[in-house]
Amino acid sequence: MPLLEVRNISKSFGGLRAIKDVSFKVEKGELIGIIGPNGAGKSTLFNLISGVYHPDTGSIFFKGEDITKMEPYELVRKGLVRSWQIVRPFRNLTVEENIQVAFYGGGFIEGGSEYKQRLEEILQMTGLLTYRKQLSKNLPQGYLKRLEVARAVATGAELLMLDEPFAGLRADEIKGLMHLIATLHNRGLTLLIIEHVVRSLLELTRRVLVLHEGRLIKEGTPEEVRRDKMVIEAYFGEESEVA
Amino acid sequence: MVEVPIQVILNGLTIGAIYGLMAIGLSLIFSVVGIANSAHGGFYLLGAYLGYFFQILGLSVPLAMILAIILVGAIGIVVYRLTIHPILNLHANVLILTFLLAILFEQIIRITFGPDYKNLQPLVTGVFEGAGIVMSNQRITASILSVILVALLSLFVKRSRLGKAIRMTTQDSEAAQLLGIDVSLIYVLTFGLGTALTGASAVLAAPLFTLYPAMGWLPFILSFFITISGGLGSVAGALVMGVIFGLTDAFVSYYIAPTWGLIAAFLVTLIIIIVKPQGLLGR
Amino acid sequence: MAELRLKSLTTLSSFKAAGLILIIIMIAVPAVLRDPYLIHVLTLGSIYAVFAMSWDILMYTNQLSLGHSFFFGLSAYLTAVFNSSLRIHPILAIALAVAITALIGLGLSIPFFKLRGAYYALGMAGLAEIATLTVKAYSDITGGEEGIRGIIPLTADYLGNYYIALAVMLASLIFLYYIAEQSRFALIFRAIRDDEIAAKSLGIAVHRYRLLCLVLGAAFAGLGGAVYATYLTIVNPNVMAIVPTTALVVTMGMVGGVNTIIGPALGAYLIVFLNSFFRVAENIRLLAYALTATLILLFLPGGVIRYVMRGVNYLMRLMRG
Repeated sequence: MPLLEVRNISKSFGGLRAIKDVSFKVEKGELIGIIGPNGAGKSTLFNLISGVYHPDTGSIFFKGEDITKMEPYELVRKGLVRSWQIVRPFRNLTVEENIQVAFYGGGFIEGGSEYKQRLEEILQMTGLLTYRKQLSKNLPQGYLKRLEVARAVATGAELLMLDEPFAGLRADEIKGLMHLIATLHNRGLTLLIIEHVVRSLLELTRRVLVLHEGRLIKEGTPEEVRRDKMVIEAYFGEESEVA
Repeated sequence: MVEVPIQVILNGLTIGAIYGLMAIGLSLIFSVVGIANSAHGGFYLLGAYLGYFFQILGLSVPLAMILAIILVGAIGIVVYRLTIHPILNLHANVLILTFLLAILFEQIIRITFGPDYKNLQPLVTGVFEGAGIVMSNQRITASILSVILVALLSLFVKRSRLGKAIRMTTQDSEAAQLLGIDVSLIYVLTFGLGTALTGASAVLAAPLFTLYPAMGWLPFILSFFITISGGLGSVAGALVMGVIFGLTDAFVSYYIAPTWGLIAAFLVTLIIIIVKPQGLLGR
Repeated sequence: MAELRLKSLTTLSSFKAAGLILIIIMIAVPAVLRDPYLIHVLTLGSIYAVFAMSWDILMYTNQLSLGHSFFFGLSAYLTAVFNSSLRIHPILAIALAVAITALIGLGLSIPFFKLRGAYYALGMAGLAEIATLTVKAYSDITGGEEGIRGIIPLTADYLGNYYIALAVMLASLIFLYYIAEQSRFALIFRAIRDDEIAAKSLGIAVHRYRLLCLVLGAAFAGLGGAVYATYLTIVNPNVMAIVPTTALVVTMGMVGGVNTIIGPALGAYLIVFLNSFFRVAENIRLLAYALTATLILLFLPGGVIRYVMRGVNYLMRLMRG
């Protein structure tokens, strides 16, 4: 049984069809990238899977359960969590409190040594240990992205969906975040990543989905995708930051 | 027997047009500046009492009206600049601030003019009688002028240079800024224009009712409900909802009891808001 | 985490001590000052404090209401009708009124949770306005503009009333403060205030917390209104009207300092005190409060509670040496 299965979903906004009949499967332990030019429907697809919107037709299954109509907070409890392209930290909460909210959201109740241990582990892994007592509004951009990941992990995610994690980061920050993502993947977490900065993503993943004008036009390894004519036309042709 | 419903329909149409004008000031400020002006009723109150003040000074009715309208707009500009502008981005605080301003206005009026009822002289006196209809001339004049003012505002926003700047600011204030539009100036002018229109609705409508210090709250709540149910920023929507509101009020007042007219009209708008949160003519 | 708790512990204990001293003073006041008018003012202060805290709990999940007098007035009228017309025992009447008001708060969540920000705040104002019009119109039951008289008080003794109101206030304060600031909800409320969407996407069922606050806000406003009705033995449409009743609660909250529970309670006592102080100048009372609240909003956002807290901290440090 795949961890996530998207079956023929479509979504229109006021006559404009943003997602057209998209289907794919994600197996446990995979790291999948979703790429596509601006306006290809990547964000809409994410919003549909994470319950922000609901598809007009088609259905979505998570661990075999139909989650098509579920709300974001319900999906988190099931283990499906997303981050935001434009980071959304709780600005007036400290880093640690931000993570604590995610613990509550995931159904973990404060107290006990296990809880504390998990907190330390997440802070350590995401490199936020030294910032733990800082208000998140004072963090630099690169660390805010890490905080997004840290919070998502803290909910107890099994499938982590990252929305353009590398956007707006400097080269060194991208490197650090890529390392973090690789670590999470090695620990068995399943990841689904939307990216616009394709180069970094193609380094990380073994399977890529290409979205164009709301349709899934190609699925394959990074090498296959790079060589595909349709993809080059749809995407590589107009975008210069690919190589 | 047929005459009675015609009278009722006309009652509803005339008061509805006036309600539409009442709501326009709030709607304009809400859609352009992006703030819900809880002091809307306070500016309405100021318009009515300033008109009254100039009248007892001995000025002619039209002159008193025009002075009152200009003064309400000027007060709007000063109040906006001094209190609202500094905290513009704190939406909850703006709501509370303007709410407190309304209370301040009410208390200032109560202290200055006393708590008892006053009357504002109408622009035209007398009563129209004919074709089985009885209606005060002021009511007819006020509703016609309301429609004209709403149409003029609509034309102004569509055609004039300032109107275009206002529209651009409404759609995307950052882009407008980049194109060289002074957004702060647009905001303060819009606030002044909005409050002046509110003052205009007051001097036209108040002669039909009585003046007292708490008179502004009902127009404020009514304007808000009409603005939202008509569709935020929609001039036509405000007018249409004003008429629906007025007709409901008139019919229920006639067939059930006057005290239930407004309640029924509010319930109708409330249902429209719940069923269609973006408003009747909202995008 | 341990450090954080430890740091707040020192200040927390000093506030507990300060609170305890204040409670003892409040209990002892009647023994020292046998001024019935002052006792009356303090009694009203306690009742309004409950109301002001109930308004504040809504703010914990971004629900600014400009029509909170609806719940206060509704419960006051329900108590009056149950007690004066249906001859139900005052305690039972209060309990019934509070329960019904809370249920109506629950029901109102269905339309109101579609609204946000100004829409929510002014929607509530509309509700209060419509309800006030209805109360005035439906005079068979509500007595119209005149209202309802002859409500049987819990006790005729003014000291008895003082202690009843004080007990209700303290119980409400402890309960609401615990929920809003000490329980595990506290952090979630802060997160929701910062970013509702982020909270949702981390598994927080935001609407449940909003519902909790709305029902608590309705219930405690109802408690204030019910006690108010039995204390003054009379209600009229003013208890439900935006002016003066919502105006008062908003002023109390702003003066005291929102999102603190204690602040609005303090604001309530302050405003009621000012009210008695300005008794000679009745004309300018409401003007003075609204002006004070406006100035505080513009220049001292956070209200007086912030300065009171600083003062208490300073005093405690002095006493420790």
